[in-house]
Amino acid sequence: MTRLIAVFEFRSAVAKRSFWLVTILFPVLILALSLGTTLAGDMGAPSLEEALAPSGAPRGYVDEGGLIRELPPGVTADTLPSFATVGEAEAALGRGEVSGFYIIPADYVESGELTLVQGEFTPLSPDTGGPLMEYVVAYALTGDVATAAALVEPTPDVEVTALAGEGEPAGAAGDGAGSFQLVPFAVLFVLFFVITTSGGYLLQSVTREKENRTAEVLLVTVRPRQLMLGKVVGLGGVALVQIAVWVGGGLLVLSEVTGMVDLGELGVSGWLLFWLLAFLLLGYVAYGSILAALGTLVPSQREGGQFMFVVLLPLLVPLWFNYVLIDQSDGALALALSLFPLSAPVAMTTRLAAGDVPLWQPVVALAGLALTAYLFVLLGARVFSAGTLLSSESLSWQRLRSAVRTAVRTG
Amino acid sequence: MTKLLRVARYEYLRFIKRKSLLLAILGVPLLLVLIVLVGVLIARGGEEPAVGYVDPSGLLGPTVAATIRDDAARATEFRSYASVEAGRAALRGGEIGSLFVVPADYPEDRSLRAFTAQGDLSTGARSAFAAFLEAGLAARYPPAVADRLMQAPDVTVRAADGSREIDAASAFLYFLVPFAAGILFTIAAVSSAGYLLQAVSDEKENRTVEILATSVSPFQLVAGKALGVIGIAATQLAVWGLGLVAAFAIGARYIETLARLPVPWSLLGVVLAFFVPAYLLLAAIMICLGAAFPEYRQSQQVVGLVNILFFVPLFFVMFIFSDPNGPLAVALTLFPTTSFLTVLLRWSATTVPVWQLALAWVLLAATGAAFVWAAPRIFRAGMLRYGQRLSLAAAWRTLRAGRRGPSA
Repeated sequence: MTRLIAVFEFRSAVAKRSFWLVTILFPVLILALSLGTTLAGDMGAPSLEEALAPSGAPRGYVDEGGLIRELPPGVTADTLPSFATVGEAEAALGRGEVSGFYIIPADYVESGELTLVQGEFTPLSPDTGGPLMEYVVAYALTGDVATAAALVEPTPDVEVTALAGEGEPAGAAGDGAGSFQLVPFAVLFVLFFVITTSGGYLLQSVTREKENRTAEVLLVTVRPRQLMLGKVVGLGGVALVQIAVWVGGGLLVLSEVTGMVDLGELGVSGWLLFWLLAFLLLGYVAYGSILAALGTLVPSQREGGQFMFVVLLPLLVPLWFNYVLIDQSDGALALALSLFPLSAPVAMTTRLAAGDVPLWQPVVALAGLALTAYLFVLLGARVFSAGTLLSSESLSWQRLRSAVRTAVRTG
Repeated sequence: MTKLLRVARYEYLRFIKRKSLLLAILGVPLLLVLIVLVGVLIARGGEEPAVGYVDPSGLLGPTVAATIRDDAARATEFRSYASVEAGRAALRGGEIGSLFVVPADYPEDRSLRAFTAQGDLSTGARSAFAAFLEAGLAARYPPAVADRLMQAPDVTVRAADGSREIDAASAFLYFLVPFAAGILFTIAAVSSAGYLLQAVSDEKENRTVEILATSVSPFQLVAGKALGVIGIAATQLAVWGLGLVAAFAIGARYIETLARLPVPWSLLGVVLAFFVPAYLLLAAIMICLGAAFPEYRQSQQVVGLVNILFFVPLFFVMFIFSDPNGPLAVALTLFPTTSFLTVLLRWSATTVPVWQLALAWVLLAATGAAFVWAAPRIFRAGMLRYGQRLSLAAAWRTLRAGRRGPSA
């Protein structure tokens, strides 16, 4: 009987158009967003080398204190024209010969203040700052090219070696913010969305039958626990299909874009996959049983929404602090989030994907999650009873509390 | 008119009493504050471990560290080691968090090597060591010049016509105000418009609309509902606005840059000018959807798409900031559903040409007016249809018929 229900739930969820829409649209959206951030990453302030070869109309300068006696080698009057007065520079700007100009005041050495007049006002654009003027001024003050360049960019490239993995350099760190870590982000989002969407389906499927009174008919032949188990198993299958589509699609796109993909190269090991599956499974069971129980308590889907948000809150928190989990994966906050059973499915897996985690931590987190899942299944099964399934009372916090209390007491 | 007001009052009170709305009104700003606070704590907390270095160039003498100007770097402890081996041993022993090796002929050769215990080099250690190197380079010059060399120029960016002037270092704050305003207004609009959809479909679903139709005209009903929900949005924005003003007033006492921030009156004007038609457009679309679908649940799927139409500029924030007068930014400015948010985002990044502002406003107002005109007619056609969707063709027929003479 349980199998029948599971198969039915699986089929009816997969047959929905909206399921495929979400399954296919979601990666497209994420891809578009990450493309946006990658491009944005490329749009950081230009390096000195790039600034020395500007494209488009150059910027000029007005040197009111006579600070700049000579331009550094590599900078010519074509790339950085000089004007005697602000009026002349404004005229050149009006004619379109320059895109803007700097004003270096006579007291620059004391104040350090520069004014940049722009024809097209774009203060937030990355090349508005640009190191060219800093370089020219530093050269004027020091008279030495190498020193001026080093003052602008003291550490243009650093070759980093990790003692832990001696022999294989951790890679060269450019002046950028470091490479974008794809795998941890992917793990974070995929686990979060798989658990929340499949949990959402579960809630929906219970409330739907409650709303249209099918539950009354069903309960004639099926015991409540069988019903719940069938739904959890069937929709768990749906979650697996979703994850298969996303991971498969992601790998396909990656291999199309970057040629052959070696999972090991991306930092994905067999152990990581094992942990992912374990956390996904237990996380789904824990949240699924709570949401299914919630489904029996609410009279309509509309009211389920706000309670669902509260239930899913522990999963949302790691999403907000994703940078903590990935950048400071040894920090106290990251550790707390990844050990707390309700946020562990997302937080611990993200940390595992981001770097080395001592073995005891995922083991403890998984054990805690397993215990929580077990308790939630017991609790959910007690709430998921004929009485609650057939009532149409509206849900309040009081009622929720009393339902949980009776469920605990009857156990 | 009294009937219209009565409907408005009913809808306003019905939703304003809900706990979920209260939660949204108070919760969104609280959540934002919380996220910012935690972010600040994380950025501040976590002391950087000591940074070790091996310097055969002799640039980094014992007195250099005391001259560093950068606050974060000055708080870092730098330890010198005679050889790479000694430094690595210290790193292995946990005395230092990272080790830098400076080339003998620095600054001619600027390719540094670095060692970490495990993983990548932290950005904090790297920028601290960069400040240390700068101090070492500057130490060879007279103190007045050295001071200047260690700090990047403080650039003020000015528009050629003198209309705008921004200190590049605090540009972030100038960007924050329009950005926050854009997001808060859009959230308020989208969430309250959701209530409007509910207000329209609720009575249709429970068949109350049949009784209502005997004493209230469809126009009164729909306009009253819209008015009530607009009241909710106004309440929401008023509470958030007061909260923001209070936050700024308190913050200005402690943070100097905040106090120097001028009140963005011109921005406020633009916000109001664009928000009103944008909100009317969204509200009218919601009424049409609520009337066209027999059930709330079905209409909600389409609502998601409509909301995305209003949120699209957020996906392109980076493009808009880096190229604020590019074709994408202009296109998003002119497209009615995205113009409100795009204008706000561009506001801090550039001076938006007046013709674009004017054209965008006219397009937005015209679209808004068209939907406001259509909404009561669609509502009238759809309100008594149960179980079947109002097809696009039927909606179109209704609108054509309505043009001959609105019988509302």
